[in-house]
Amino acid sequence: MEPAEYDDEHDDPDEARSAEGDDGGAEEEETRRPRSVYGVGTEPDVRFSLANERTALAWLRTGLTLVAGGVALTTLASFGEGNEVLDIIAGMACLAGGVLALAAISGWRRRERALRLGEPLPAPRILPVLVAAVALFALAMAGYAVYQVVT
Amino acid sequence: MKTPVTTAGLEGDSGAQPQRTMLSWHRTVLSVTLGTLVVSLTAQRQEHSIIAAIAALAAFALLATVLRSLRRWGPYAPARWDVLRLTCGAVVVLGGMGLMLAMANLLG
Repeated sequence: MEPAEYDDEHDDPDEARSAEGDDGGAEEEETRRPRSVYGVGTEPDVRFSLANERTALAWLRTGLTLVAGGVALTTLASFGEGNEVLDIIAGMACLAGGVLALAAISGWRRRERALRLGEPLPAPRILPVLVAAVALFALAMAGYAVYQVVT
Repeated sequence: MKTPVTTAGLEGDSGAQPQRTMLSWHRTVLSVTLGTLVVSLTAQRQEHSIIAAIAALAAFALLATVLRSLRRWGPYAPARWDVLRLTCGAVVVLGGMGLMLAMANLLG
């Protein structure tokens, strides 16, 4: 798990910081939140922690994309009459975006805890849900298109 | 003379992890701000002036707060969690506003 070019002399961040004269390290450790994450385990390699943060940010942006898509669909629906389906889809997209944002922060917590405890990284819980939602959405849209053609 | 504090584990870092993470933060903050402005403009177009005003003010407040928090950001800084939670909250609020717009459009 240790990446290439890693400096073995500094694999314990606390030790390294105290060696560099950082007296506020222990105090800072106490004030770090959330305690459910930083109150357990030991400090992991900071690169993994930063990668975890970037993953959470990427999920947040995915949620934001869904929200923006939903708002764009609302605008599209307002151009004409009888676009209730578009409004419903827009509402669902906005809702899903919000849920995805919450899942992003929950996933960050779980991964950070696992990193600190030296446990295997947990499987992403939201990914299967997202895949199922996209598949259901595709089926629903196909059904709607067939319905429009038939009627 | 005070020894500069360095982050352990990053001395031999060829991947520029803090810089990449900060860039990721900037992309996210920019996206959230633009998203909020899109919600604001859409609400204004649909004549929901209250939602438009709230979204516009939220965009400004969010940008100011997050940029201020990001100044204190660091690999071991407590501000990491605060700014992450704030950004997550902003996306959830945006989702709620989008849902309100869709519902208003549907019912109106």
